[in-house]
Amino acid sequence: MEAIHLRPILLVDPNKCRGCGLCELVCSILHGDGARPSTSRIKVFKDRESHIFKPLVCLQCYDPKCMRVCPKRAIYVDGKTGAKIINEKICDGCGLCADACPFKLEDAIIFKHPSKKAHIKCDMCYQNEEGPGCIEFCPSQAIILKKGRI
Amino acid sequence: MHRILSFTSHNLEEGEDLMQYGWVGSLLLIDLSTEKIKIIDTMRYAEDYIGGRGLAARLAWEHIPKEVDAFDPENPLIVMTGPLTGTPAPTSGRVVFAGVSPRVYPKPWYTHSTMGGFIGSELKYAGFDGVIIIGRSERPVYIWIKNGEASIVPAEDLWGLTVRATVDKLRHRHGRRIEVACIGPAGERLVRYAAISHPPENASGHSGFGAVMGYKKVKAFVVQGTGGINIAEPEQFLTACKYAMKLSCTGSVDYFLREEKRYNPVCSHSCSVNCCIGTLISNVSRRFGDGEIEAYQVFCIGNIWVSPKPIAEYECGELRVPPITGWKPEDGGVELHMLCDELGLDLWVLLTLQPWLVRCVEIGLNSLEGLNLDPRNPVWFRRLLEDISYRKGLGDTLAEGLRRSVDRLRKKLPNELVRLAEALEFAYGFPAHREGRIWDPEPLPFWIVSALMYATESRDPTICTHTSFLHLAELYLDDKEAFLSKLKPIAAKLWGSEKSIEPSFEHKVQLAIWCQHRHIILDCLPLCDFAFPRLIKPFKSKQEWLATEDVYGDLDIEAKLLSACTGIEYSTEDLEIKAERIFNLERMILVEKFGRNREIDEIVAAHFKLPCSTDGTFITVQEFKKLLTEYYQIRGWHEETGRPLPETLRKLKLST
Repeated sequence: MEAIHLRPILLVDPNKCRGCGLCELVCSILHGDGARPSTSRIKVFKDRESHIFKPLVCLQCYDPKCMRVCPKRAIYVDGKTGAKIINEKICDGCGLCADACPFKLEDAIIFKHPSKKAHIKCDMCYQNEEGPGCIEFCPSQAIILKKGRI
Repeated sequence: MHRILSFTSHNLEEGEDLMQYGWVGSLLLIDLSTEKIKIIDTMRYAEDYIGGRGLAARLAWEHIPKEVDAFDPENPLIVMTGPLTGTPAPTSGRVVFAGVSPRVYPKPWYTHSTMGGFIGSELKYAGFDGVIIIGRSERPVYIWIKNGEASIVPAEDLWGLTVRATVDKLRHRHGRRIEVACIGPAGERLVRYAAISHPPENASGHSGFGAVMGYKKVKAFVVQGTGGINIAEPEQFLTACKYAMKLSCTGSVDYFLREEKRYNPVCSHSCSVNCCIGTLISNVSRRFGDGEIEAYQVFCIGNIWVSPKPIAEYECGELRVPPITGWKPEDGGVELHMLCDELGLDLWVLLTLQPWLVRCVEIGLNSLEGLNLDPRNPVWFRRLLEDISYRKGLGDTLAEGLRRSVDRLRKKLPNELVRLAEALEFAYGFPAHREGRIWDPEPLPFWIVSALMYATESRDPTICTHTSFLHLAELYLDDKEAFLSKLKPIAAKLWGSEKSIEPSFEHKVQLAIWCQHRHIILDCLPLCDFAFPRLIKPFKSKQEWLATEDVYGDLDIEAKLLSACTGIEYSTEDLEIKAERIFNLERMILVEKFGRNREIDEIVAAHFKLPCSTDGTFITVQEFKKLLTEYYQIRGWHEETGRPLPETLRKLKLST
């Protein structure tokens, strides 16, 4: 599947990821959950025996299925970053968005917050002036912002 | 799975409502004899003893009876994280084990051992800062900890399995998202240097706590948690983390730098340092010969297994330490390394056993206890490692550690081999390391600092004190004048005199004490000693090092991280005072409960009579004793007994 992204999205390079998990911790702290990887909007799947690390994060689809299926219209597009954001006040956690996600991978992209009613996903840290925290903290520059044809 | 016991500490669904920052607030006390599980409030001790090694010492003071043996139900096995474990503080994903170690010679006493990995973080996400295991189970069990619940689960089906097979079976049972620390056959059979393994990269090996787990019949700790750690000042904390990452990304350790950028897998959670652990690298080859071998996860001891050239040869008078013969990867060097991991053995077994066995052959002793010796043959060595782990034949004797083995075989051995064993494991049964002689060529002033640490600590201290000072020997050996001119201002400021870094015995006590305190701080938070403390700035090349006038790094990073994480204001001075208190508490445990005294401290003096392999310097026993007296005076310890004086204990609030 190919899509044109007019705004930059988060792209990860599994060859550069070293599996430290810093992106997950920074993500959860910036979203007010403390250091708690289970609430991180970016998830690193680790196979430490084989040294395979795959960070997974929302690609902010140009045509977001999650947004279209939401019965509460809780998902909106941020004007500045283009991120598809779940309004946690409106979301009632029905999970249709997670089911509709074409990349649904073990609750990594859209999933229910372990101790809240709402579902959560990457919002590209739209409130953070310095941009996505995971990019800022990744020690091996495995996460980048890129726009264009993916 | 048959669950026999469980206890819920708090409801992690309400994770955000936890009151503590940094610490999660609960310690598990598991009594295997009565099968009872209790919860202790971490905060009773946390502010004063921080975590990790400090908190472990405080609990050990309470839980360790006098003169208890390592293999006694009353010996507690303490597993402890720190306030920074599980947070993005760089290199903080560490865990500390403590208890009475069976490796210590001549008799076991209290000590600690640390490792990295992911299990410390997971334990905190599961709601616990640490675990204390007391008593002994009658049958094999494992400890299953998940989201505020702990259970003692039968493990008959796991007993006897190797490390990897154990982990595979547990993953099959509990799913992939668990973290496991377990023992292999060596731990089950009480090999005195059996490791607690946390595959694939980590193990707590040096203090033989794997054997303590084996004695208690605990096969594994299995942990899973989805909770979190509250951060008091998230913004400041992330700023401090970012700053710490910037300073620690390369460092004195990486002075022998590789220019090319590789993305080495980390060995620990939250590690931002692209360090040498991940690959066998050119920096090691500089010291150990042409070691341009591509192999991963074999740094330090592991790379000796695959070093193509013999290393660490030492000769002085009657004492000859034959070089350690590594094996090329095609000869099975990497497999031997992996075999140690599988069996749950401390990798350092090669460092003492092989030279000793080679010397046996050199002087014509070709068989021991009915086994023909062929220690240069990797296939033979492989069988020996298995024999040790399963305690068969000569392996059963060697499983006791070299010093105890030699005691057992004494009648059959020439005196030279007894003397060699004493040199190889000179420090209370721990292998020689960074002492300027047999292992690592630290010249004066470096080896005298490690000598003072050896004399006053409970184990080989240098293995966890790399970056504070000892690693700087690399810079000193490279360009002595540049080193001295750059470090003198730092020495005057931190250790009271420029003389402390000169090649003499003057002003070394302050430096040794400083190293000890800085590393207690690291082991409490905890952080990795390959990255901190940042005594000097990180340098990307030798040119940069030579061109920089002010090389001082930043020693306040630890305090900044801890303050922002916990919300309790700590200054570097506060941390150093707490480190002094913890050091004295550890000393009191040894003095009060295990009869440690000046006489025992002086045991190591004989080793430093041997000339340094780099510059030929040495210290006589008489001079060493003088230095030790100076150390006691500065510490506030009794000059004859080595016991902390009542006023020292009062000053440190260790007594009223």
